[in-house]
This record gives sequence, structure tokens and C-alpha cells, in this order.
Amino acid sequence: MRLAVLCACVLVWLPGLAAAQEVRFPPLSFRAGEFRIFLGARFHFDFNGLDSAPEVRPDEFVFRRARLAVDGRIYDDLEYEVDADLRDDRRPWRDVFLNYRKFSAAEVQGGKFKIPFGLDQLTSVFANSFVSRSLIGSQLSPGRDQGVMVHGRVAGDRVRYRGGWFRHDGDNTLYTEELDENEFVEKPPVNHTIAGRVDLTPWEQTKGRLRRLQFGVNVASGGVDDGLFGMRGRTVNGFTFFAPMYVGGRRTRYGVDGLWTSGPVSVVAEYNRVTDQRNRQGLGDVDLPDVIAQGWYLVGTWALTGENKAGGIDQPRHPIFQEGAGGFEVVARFEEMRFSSAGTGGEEPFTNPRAANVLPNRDRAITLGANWYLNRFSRVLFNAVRETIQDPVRSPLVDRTRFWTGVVRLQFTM
Amino acid sequence: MRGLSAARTGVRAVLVLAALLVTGPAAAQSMDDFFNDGVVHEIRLTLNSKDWASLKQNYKENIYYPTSLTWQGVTVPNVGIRSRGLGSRSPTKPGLRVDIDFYSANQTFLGLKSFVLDNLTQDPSMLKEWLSMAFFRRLGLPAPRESFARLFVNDSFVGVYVIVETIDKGFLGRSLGADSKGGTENDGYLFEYDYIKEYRFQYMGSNLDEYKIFKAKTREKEADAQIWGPIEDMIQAVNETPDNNFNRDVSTYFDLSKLARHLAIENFLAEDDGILGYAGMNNFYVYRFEDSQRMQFLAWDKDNTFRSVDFDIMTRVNDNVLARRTLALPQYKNDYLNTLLDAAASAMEPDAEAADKADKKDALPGWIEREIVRQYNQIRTAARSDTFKPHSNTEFEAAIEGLLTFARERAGFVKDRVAEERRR
Repeated sequence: MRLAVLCACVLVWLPGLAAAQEVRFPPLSFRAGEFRIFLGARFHFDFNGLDSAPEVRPDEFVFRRARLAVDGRIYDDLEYEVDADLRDDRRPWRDVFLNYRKFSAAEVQGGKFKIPFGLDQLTSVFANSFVSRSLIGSQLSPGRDQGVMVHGRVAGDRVRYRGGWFRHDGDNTLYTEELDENEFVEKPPVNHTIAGRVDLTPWEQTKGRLRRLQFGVNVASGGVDDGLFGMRGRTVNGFTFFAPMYVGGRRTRYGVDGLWTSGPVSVVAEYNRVTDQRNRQGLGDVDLPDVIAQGWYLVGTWALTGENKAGGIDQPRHPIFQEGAGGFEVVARFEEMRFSSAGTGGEEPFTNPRAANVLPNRDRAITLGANWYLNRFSRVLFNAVRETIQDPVRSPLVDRTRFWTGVVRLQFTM
Repeated sequence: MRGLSAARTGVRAVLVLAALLVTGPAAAQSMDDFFNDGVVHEIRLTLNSKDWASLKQNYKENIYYPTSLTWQGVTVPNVGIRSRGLGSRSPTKPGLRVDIDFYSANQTFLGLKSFVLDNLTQDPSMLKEWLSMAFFRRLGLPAPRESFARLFVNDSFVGVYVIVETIDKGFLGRSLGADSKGGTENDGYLFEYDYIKEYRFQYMGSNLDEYKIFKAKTREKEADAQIWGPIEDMIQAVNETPDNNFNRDVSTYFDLSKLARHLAIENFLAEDDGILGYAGMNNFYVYRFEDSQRMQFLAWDKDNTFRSVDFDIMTRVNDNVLARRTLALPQYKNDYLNTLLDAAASAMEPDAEAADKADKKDALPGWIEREIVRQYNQIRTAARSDTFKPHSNTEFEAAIEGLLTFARERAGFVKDRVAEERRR
């Protein structure tokens, strides 16, 4: 039944896409003197209906994102962007910034934008090979915040750097879901984050197989208020498998990543670690060992229809209803995110939010997917995710720790 | 040298003996020791100071905080506490529910999964709750065991509390004996009455949501029809069964003789906020036995007892459908009056040893008076040093005097009224 509904939706969707391809959208840009404007719109429609257990997530269609963006330049040296998600009632604004680009070695950007941390988080969700970001990309990377950043390219573009100051710690730790009991988010709990990232492409000027090999390292640090503000572990669908701990002191993030593409194939790996201090957070106000959230992922993609991944598979060689059936890509991601403490404090491990020795928990996920790029405006993503929670008591299912979820996404961008 | 060696051996022996004396009692502690009302216990909780401040600031919320619990050398880490109570909630002396298993499902303390630290803010005498439960047990009905404690939070004295045994599966198993199959009787349906409106056992129709004032404490995940369907059936039967079938039909739900006994004990204690409370039913649990329709009331939260010596024996009997229809039947009215006389006799029963020596037994203090005096002497110092209680020491002493008056005069009043009631 659920598959039938899905097929019906795709069949309704396809003729529209064909028409769109034939009409050819006019370029949505305008120029008035030195003032240039580009308009963009992007949409996500999700069908959540392939789960192995209804407790994990109800079957439903979700109009997930409706992003409208305006960007452009004022004269040649000043860029701007204003991007909003009309489906987000609480915090609709995404990127809102100005960038002074006169010197490519040292551009200055101010406003609201992504804190430079985490390859997966820094990749647009509309360019991601999967329906959901990785666990660490969506939860251990900070996301967007207000701040000022200096960035540029040096050493013949082989080194790209970004570094800046931000008011808080990004929006990924401001939980938008309904809060659990005992959770208070009256104001962002992390203040004055300093973050920096360096991307290296040492062989970019060569013609060998390593030309598209890229490494990234990033670090971020901010002061976290006393309170129940520790990192929270959530499954792909938002179930909390690790509840926040009481923290206080500094929050420090480290991360490394690598990306390699060669023709239709790409491999990506990333590791992130977040450490929260717990100064005077124990029973009797003693200091506790830091609580640690860390994780990794390994991604492989393969464009079956031969498109060059680095060149952009989103523009298939043979778009649907014109010369072919579009572009096809298969993708897989293995990942893990785990939570623990840096020491035992001489105690047995417990789950209470002031435990010296935090009882660890972990989510391991395998995502298998297929992406169908119909044309340069549209794609359909099929993802199946199998997750395994380490601690049965903190699994979303009463009787088991392993479960499947599935989602089909329709994406439209212009 | 030999003398020195012998001395060392002797010192070692003393140290070993001392170690045994220190560690021995801790290893031997039991639940009975914890509820031993012959001593004032000392309970220590260690919290983060911000949590204690937050608990007091948010005392109307049921927010849990982690703590470690220490009693007589036994320390239990990883325990959850929260503010509790209805009218007794207090920001200066919060009543506490202590859940041993809140963060660790299998953790117990002396076999207990939880207990209550009653803050005694509604009773200047501090004795009513403890004395009432002891009287219920004395007259053969199950009731929580209780004892007194000085509570310390982060090594600071925060007041005198009563340790109250929680009504849960453990309590049921200890109190109700064996089930029909010879096992422990505790796997039925337990409900805590949740006071939200004035209610006196009227039938509220077939919508089961109406009956969720009986808050499920066991088997909570079962279907509504499974949990509250029999409650609705029972209340419908109590309300709609014709008089001539009432005994037969309603007896499938209650041991009506035991129900009459429960009501009589509440009345003897001049309970103004119980099953026949001034603002409707309040302060009780109901347990539905395993594989049965049979239910039983269980006493809870008795700090509004000892209202007055002349609290009438038929107070609000006619306001409550279940009480009115049950006591309209002569055999249960007789059970009710007999229990009042039992209670009077039990309350006035002199100490056996003293009675053997005394010429005039009637002049000896009865059981309730002796218990008041015993416990008053035991808690007096701690109670007077409790600066967090909402009453002055003068009010404390006056309340004790009031209790003693009740203890001396209540039985006589009740006996006279029972005789009068029987003459009608």
C-alpha cells in the first residue's frame, strides 16, 4: 500500500518535470547598474513510509523544505546572500551575510552563516548524496551562527582557510524538536566560539589520480554555561539515545576529513570529536571527567551512468524525456556516533546526568541509497538506513536494538 | 621483644575487631531496620548544590535530580529525587520522592525501589501520618510502614521527615500475602487516586477517560479497556445495582466487610481528607487483585487525621455512594460500628506489664497516648531544631497536647455515639 502511494506520487511528479525540462526556465537573475541579484528556490518532499517499526517514526508525507534565496553582488567586491526556509516557523533564516572579496587571500564575511567545521555539515543538504546528513555532520558539527570570518585561498589555491568568531555554538545544539523533561533552552548555552578550518588540495595542480584528493582539519572552542546542555545523541529520525549531561566550562570540537573523487566514483571519510568540560557538575559540586561525543563515517558513491562526480552528477548526461533516463548513482555510508566520559571517576558507569562515569551508548548506522538525477532541476533519492543502538534500555524499540528506516525524497531546485 | 610482638598482635586484634564493629552493622541492615520507628534515623543526600536550589525553586514541578543516598553506612549512588505532594509542597522544606531505580532499572536499596520523605508541613505535631498508619496496621489493614529521620542534604540539616514506605509491587507482595496460585500477590492493577475534583463515587458514564482519576501505577502500558474498564464496571454496579442485589453484585468487587472496617478506622482517626473527605474522595490507593474483579482500598497520606475528638462517627457517610449503600445494609453497618468499638478498645489498651501491676487499669494511658509520648520524646530535640518547618515550636508543643487530648477522649466519644447509633 505504502509503495503504491509512493509510485503514484512519482508518476504525478514526472510529467511536470518533463514539461519543466522542455520549457527551460528563464535565468532568474537581474542586474541594475552594479547591483546584481540571483534568485533561487529549492524544495524537498519526503515520504517516510518504509520503516521496520512504526514506533520509530510514523508513516507520513512531509513537505520538508521550501528554501528561497537571494544572492548577488554589489559592485565586484561585495557579495551578499539571504536564504530562508519557509517551512521552518521557529528559525526560518539560513544564510544571511555580506562578504568582502577584494583580496582572494583574505576575504572578510559577516552575518549568519555556517561555522567552518565539518565537511558534511558544510556541504549543502541539496548537494548531499543522502537524504540525511551523517550523524556527526548533523549533530557534532555546529551549523550556522552569527559571526565574523576571514577566509581565503593561498599557496596557489592549494590551501583554503576559514577562521572566525561566532556569538554562540551553531544551531545544531538548539533542539528544534519538542524538548524532553528537564531540558531548558532559554538561550543558547555556548558563547563566544572561535572556529577555524583548513582545506588542503596538495595535488590539485597535477594531472594524476590524486588531483581530486582533499584533506580538511577543523577545530572550534567556546564557553558552555552550567546546565543540562551537554551534547545529545539522536538517531537518524530524532530519537534521543543519549540524553544531555550537565556540563560547564569549555566545549571543544576537533575534526579531520578526507575526500577523493575519480571519475564517477567518490570516497569520503570524516571523524569528529566534541569534548564538554564538567567543572563542579558532580554530586557535592565536584569536578567530573569530561563527557565525550565522537564519531566517524565512511561514504562511497558511484555514478552508474558515468557522470563525473567532481564535475557534478546533478547535471546528467542524458536527462529524462530528452535523450535518456537521467543519471543514476548508488551510494553507501557506514557511520558511528558514541558518547562516553573521559574517565571513570572511580565509579561504576551510570546514566544519570551527573554520573562521573557515563554509561556509554552508541548508534551504528548503515545507509544504502540510490539517487536518480532526472535532470538538472530534479532528483529522487531512495535511502534505507539500518541502525543499531548499543544499550537496549535506550533504544527506541522496547524489544530490540536494531531497526530499519526508509525514506524517499523528491528534490526540486531552480 | 616478645612483649612488643604480643602488644602489636593485640593492637591488630583490636583494630580488626573495631573494623568488624564498624562495618558489621552496615552489612546487616534490612528494610525492617529502615522502618524501625524506635529510633530517629539519619539520612544523607548528596546533590549538586545547583540541583538542590533548582528543586526548591521548581518545587511545584516533578523534575528529577540525581543524588546519592547514605543511611547507616550504606550508600546508594545514582538515585533520583523529586519534589512531591499536593498541598504539602514547599520551597523551603520540600517533600521528596526518592526513586532508587530511576536511573538504573534494577537498583534497589534494602529491597526497596522507592520511598517517600514526607516533609510534615501540614501537621504541626509531626506525628499524625506515622501514628495513623501504625493504627491501621494495628487493626489489621495493610498500610505503609513509617519511621522518623533527620535529613541532611550536602551535610546540612534540612529538617525532620517521615520515611514512608511506597505503595508499589513490593509493598503489595509484603502486605497482601499469597495469590490464588500460591505465588506473591502483587501482579494485579494498582491505582493511586489522583485528586483533581470533588468526587464521591458517582457513575460518570462509559467514557473511560473520566476514570483516569484512578492513576494506573502498574500495567500502565495495557489498553485502557483492560485497565479502567473494570473500574467503570465497578462504579456502575455500585451506583445502579438495585438494593436487593447490591450485596451480591458489589461483593464481587469489594470485600464489603473489609471496606466497612477501612471506613471505620478512618473515622475513628477523625480523618477529614480521606475516602469520605471534606472535598470529596482523597488519599487512597485501590488495588485490583490478579485474575480477579476484587478490589481493595489502601490507606495513604494521613496527615489530616485527628481532626477533633467529637468528629461524628457518621460524618459524610451519606455523601458517598459506595459508603452510603454499603452501610445501608445492616450487616456492614454492624461491621462498621464494631470496628469503631475495636478501634476505641485498641486505642485505649493499656500496657500489659503496667496493667498487671496497676489497681485501676482505666487510669493507665492507652496505646495511642503511649505512642504519642514515646515518639514525642524521641523526635522532640530534632523537631525543635528544625527551622525549616512552617510552624513554631510553641505550635508544635500545642499540637502534641491536642493529640494527647484526642488520645484520652476520642474512645469515650466514639463508644457513646456507637451506642446511640445502635439505639436508633
